[in-house]
Amino acid sequence: MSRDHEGLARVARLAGRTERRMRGARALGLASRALCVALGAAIVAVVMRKLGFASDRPVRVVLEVSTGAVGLAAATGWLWRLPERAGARALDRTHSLHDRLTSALEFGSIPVAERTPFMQAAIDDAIAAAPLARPQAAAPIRIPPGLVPAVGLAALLVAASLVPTRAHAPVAVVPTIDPLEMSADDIDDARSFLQQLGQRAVSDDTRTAIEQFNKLVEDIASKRLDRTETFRRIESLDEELAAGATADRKALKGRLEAMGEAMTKAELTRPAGLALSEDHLAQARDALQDLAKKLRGPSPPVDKAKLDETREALKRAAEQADKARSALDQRRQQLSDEILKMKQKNGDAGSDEEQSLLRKKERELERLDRESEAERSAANQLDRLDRELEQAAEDLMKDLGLSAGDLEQGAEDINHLDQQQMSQEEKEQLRQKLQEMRQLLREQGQGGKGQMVRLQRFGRMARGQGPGQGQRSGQQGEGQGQPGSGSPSASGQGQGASPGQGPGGANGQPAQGGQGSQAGETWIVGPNGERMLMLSRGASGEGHGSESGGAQGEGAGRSGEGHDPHLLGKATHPGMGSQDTQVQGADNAQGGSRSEVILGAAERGFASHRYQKVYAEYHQVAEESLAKDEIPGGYRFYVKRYFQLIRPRDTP
Amino acid sequence: METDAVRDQVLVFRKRIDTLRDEIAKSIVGNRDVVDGVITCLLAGGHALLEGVPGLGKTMLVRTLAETLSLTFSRIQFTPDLMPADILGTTVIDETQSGAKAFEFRKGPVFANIVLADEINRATPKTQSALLEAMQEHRVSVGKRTYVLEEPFVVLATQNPLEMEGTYPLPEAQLDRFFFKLYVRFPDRDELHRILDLTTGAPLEKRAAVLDRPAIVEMQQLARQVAVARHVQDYAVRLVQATHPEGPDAPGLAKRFVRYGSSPRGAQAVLLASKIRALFDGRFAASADDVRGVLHAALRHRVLLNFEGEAEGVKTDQVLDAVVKSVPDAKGDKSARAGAN
Repeated sequence: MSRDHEGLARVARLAGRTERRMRGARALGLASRALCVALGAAIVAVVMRKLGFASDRPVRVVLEVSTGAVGLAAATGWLWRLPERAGARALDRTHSLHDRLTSALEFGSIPVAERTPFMQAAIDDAIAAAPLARPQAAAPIRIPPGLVPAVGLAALLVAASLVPTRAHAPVAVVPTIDPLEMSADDIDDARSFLQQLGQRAVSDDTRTAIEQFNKLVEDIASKRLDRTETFRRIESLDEELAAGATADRKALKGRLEAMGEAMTKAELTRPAGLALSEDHLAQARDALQDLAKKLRGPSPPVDKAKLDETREALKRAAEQADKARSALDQRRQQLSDEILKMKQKNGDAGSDEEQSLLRKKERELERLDRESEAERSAANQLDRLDRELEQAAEDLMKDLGLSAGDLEQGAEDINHLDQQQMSQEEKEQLRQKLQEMRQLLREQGQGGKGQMVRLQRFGRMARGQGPGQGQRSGQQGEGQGQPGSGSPSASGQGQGASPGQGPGGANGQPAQGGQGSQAGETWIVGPNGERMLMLSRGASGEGHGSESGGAQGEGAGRSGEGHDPHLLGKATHPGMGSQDTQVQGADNAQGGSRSEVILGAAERGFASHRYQKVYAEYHQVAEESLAKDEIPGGYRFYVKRYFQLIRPRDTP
Repeated sequence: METDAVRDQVLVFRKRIDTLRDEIAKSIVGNRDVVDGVITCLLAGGHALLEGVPGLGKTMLVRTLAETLSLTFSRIQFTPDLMPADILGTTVIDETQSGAKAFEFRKGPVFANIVLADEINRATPKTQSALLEAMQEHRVSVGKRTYVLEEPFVVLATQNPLEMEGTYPLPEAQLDRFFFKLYVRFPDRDELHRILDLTTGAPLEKRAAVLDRPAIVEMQQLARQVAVARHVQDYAVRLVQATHPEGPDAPGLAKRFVRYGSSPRGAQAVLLASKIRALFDGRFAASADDVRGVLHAALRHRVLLNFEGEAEGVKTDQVLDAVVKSVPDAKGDKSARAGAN
């Protein structure tokens, strides 16, 4: 039996070796195929790198993955399960052993006692035949079919690697946004508004707010903001402006009025009192400062009656806050008690009339609460002033100089209050402008690209740059005969008459007229009403292209080129001295009628002096109507927008 | 040691087989596979169906086999008017020595060790069934008596593939009783020369008996003791299953043209024949090669084609070739698919 055991073990070893060879051959085959694929991918990656279409990183990734794939293929080929007794069968097949070895291994796994004689004989037969079996023949490891192509591909890879590398210019992926569009006209309007407001701004925080608003407008103009960001910044700016809101204007005004009323009772404080009650804080400040000077002056008013009177007035003025507040608190308390009583009496089961009365009282209480809150806020604002006035009243009897000092402090407080109010007004204007801008952007968002195109076109036409208008900016209507721009040299001579010289004409207001315009000739109405021929060439090119103010004549194109054969005089001597003269145009109301001006503006744009005046008149009426709340709330925006769109433009 | 005895037995077996073959070859030229097939059927205790055109020596083969085996031989020429009694025997009234009359059963030609049923497809189904019953049962029932047929009992039936008109093809259920179906092919040129040399000269001598009945029985018993490894048996099973159109590993040809695949009797025939084949080779265990070697003979008459297959003229051997190609030696071993050996 041990002989059988050894024999079977030898057979098993042979089968095992054969199986290992089979695994190895399979691994080599798979690895060679995978190598071909990997080399192909590597070649493509290297070529891409060499040509500059890819950077190092993706190439490295491809190479690593390819290498890994080859290893994986080899491992798979080795580890993948073989059929049972594949090695023994391969030996049997190769050496024509008719399953001797395979059957022997199978019979060998059966316990000896259970084997039949034939099984045992089969085992012996297999053991006898085993020496003939060669694993090398049964599982030859041949050159993998993919090896030859792999060698070729490897050579290609080496060749590709030797090619010089072009610089890789990565295509930068720039994050883009969908910028918000605002018409140039609206941007100009915003800029103009902020410029004007900036000139008037008195407080630092107002100037800061204006700067922020400016930045917002510039960012929109540069298309650096998308819609979401734009609205976010508008919201943020609005909150900042609202955060600094001071006391309710109305309540403050009421308090100042009451204070002023009290101060008018005395002769010395009357001027200040009157100014305060009329809400002229600057005047009130000045009046108090004057009073303080008087008190400090070389001859202060020492009339006791007057001083008493003044003291009383100042004292009463300081007490106004308490009076107003206590009256309000009393009313609130009274109303609150009434409501409580009604609730206790009726609960939720009262009649409709009683419920209605209860609700009315509750609303009244809410209103009083709001009023009280406003009053408290105003009181905080005026707290210092109250104290100064009170102190001034007390010091009036002790030391006039001290009192003067208190009054000066009070004047400072009023000045500060005035500035705050002015600042608040400016902030309110900014806020309002922000609201308008927000509403405008919303409207434009709903209108889409078509609306934007129309707005852009409208803006150009408003500036007189509409189609068919050439560069005739500033001209309004033919035959209107507006007096010329006042260049004395231009009258009657028609040369060197650069329109727009002189004040008023500095906006590029050329001499109007423009009748019978042949190329280079323009008839104008002179200052005396007579018709004059003005010669023009190209862009404002009368003879020698003396142009200022930017007015562009007909056929504006290339200024300063060529030579006009219609020379009427000698060339200007450069060394000749010049004399500056300032002239002013006289409006003698000989221009077109209001309707003509409006019609002309509609056709040729809104950049003319006459139009500015007409616009101002209409705009004033509109502003008054808006202030008086005569226009329904939902239409106020459209009225403002309308007037904003037809506002006068500067000539380009 | 038992294994030594086994080796000796196998050695003797091979010698006997070689002797038998050599003796038969003195009269039968070529058709080595038919001779081996007939011997296999004899040793397996089965019956064979020989198909071939007339004049190929089918009857000669059977007669020679009978001579070499010292077995009784009978030939039945099937005709349409053949009655079952003509095969099985009949009861006649005979006079005894004493002069009394008694019924006596006269045995028919089926009572032989080797029965040649020539052109079995010419007899009526009734007559066919009488023989087939004897083939299956190895006994004959006549009246109330049952007569056991002497072993070994082998029926070698023949079919003429040419004259099918007016014949009664054996039903499938009856075909399944034959262990092997063997095609007797036309001899090639050299073989034909030899045939002519043998048969047109001096009369052939009678063949000598080289095996007797006990030896045959012993050989039959030895054949059944041959070992079969599990993987070989599994291979045979998978081959048989693949003959069914719905079976695993069934090739496209089987799926398209086969109506019914082989029965389990076919698997038995395959395995038993494989063992005998292994013994022919002096081996102690059957191999996958043996299975492939006997597959066609064992299954060609057990795979039934559908109408499309018949119309397309597909042969069952083509289907079996496809089956061998599609079924691997071992499960998952795609490298070991082989054609016929």
